[in-house]
Amino acid sequence: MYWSSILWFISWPALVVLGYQLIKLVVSKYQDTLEKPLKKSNSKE
Amino acid sequence: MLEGIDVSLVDWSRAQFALTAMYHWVFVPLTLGLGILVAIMETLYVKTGNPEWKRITKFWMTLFGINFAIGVATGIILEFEFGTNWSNYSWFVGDIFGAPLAIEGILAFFMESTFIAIMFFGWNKVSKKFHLISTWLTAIGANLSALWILVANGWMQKPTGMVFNPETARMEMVSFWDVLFSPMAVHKFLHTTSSGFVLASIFVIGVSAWFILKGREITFARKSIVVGAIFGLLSIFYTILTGDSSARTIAHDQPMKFASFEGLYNGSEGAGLVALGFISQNKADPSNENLKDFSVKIEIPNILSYMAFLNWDAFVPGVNDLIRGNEKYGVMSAEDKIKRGKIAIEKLTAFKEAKKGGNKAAADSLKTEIMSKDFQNGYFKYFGYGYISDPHTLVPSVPLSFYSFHIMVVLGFYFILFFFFALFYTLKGKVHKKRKFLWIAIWTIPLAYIASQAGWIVAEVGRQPWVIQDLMPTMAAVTKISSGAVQVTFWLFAIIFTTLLIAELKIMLRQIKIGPKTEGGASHV
Repeated sequence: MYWSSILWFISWPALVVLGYQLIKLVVSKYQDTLEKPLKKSNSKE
Repeated sequence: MLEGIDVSLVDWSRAQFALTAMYHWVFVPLTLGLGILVAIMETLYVKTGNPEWKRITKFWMTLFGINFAIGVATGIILEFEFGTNWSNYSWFVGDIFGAPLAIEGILAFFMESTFIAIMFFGWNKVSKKFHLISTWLTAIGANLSALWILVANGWMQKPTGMVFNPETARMEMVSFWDVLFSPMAVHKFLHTTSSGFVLASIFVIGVSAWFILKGREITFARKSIVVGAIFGLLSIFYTILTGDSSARTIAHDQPMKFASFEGLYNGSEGAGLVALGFISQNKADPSNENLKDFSVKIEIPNILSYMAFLNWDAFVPGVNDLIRGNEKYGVMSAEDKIKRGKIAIEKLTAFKEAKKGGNKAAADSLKTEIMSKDFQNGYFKYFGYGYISDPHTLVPSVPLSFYSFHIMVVLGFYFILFFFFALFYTLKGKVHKKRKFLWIAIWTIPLAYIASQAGWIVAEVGRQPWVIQDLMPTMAAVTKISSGAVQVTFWLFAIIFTTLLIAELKIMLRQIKIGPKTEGGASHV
């Protein structure tokens, strides 16, 4: 009877976990871009 | 502005509750979302061991703490108002409404209060893992607090899991699980908390944009933007998804609210969704002050039918169908519901009199009749309509519902673009060059608050005149005290809340200007 609601409830922690995993992936992949000093990137571009 | 306010007791009590709730909702969504974002940032610190993530976590944690403390103060006042201003409501449904509120106090509030202390003062005193668990439990505790409040609110919008006791004239809970797992409550929780995630993500991006504009803390700002943009992007899609499901439950359980926020006066098959509309001052219906003509109206055909019933050609009842009734589609008229509500009230009064007069046989017979399934479904279901004298008062403010709904939806779609560009520019290493975008990011913060408040206006103004859908009108819920007393507390609260808001803004801005600190306490400038 409550399955639909329970499934919806489970989607809430799933959103948080998915968010964390995606952030971890992107942050590690783009670490150099994110940590590049501003002056250096200004002179390059 | 004051001239427009009706000084009656009900209106002042409503104004006071709305004032408290809206101020409370200034603080809550940021707490809900920022707690999770801080927990994600700290997890990255624990997993990578990179001290930059610790600086980032601590900075946003400070802002979370300021906001949390002030949010609690407004929330406590809100709960007291149920007793001081809405005592008839509390009497009628306290057995049901009290349960989720009590769980909130015992479980979520205590959980938050315990672990927030470790979160703020436990750095270097407890292990990294224990600290991280405390941060997550604080964030989850804040969202669990919201769950119980929203379960209570969801029950008011769609009463379920209860039975009426004629002996006490009160509603009593018979199924806690029906109340907790009501689709109305579930969708309300998911939609509301995820909208808080969106707001907090925008806040993080906006504040980070300020640092970039000032040429300060570039790495900190870029990393914060990436966290905010990814989590915000996922959350906004989730908010739209849950909003869509929410709309479907509203179309089913609160058709008048649905028709009002869509500006649908006359129902039709294959009803269109108003993509753009402006309401004029001309009356659309001479018998109803609330229904004004549209000066501009652009509709997308069939979308509303699909949104409401997952069927492109389904009939969606309009405001007039719900007032006058529509036999063809089985819509009962408001007059009929009012008659049934009055019969329910008369039966209950007769039962009370029979009991008072010591006529046990008559009282037992009336009780059996009141409790019978046929009477419950045919008459008691419309109990609240018995208090309504004019059917047109069943229509909420259409312009306020309509504009609030459309502002929320338009901003929701704008936020998708906003998060996308924030992420795109940052990952391309160009965000510091996009000064216009950085300014837009700062000005998107107030837009997030507008969208959030608009959502609550749709939910609460749209359900008027009901405090409990179909069972108790707002006017019957109010405490019988002098409206002068309510006016005094209204202004008192207005001053206190405004002071609190100014204090929060000042403290927040000061902390933002100081920026993230290094381990020794100094900040990088």
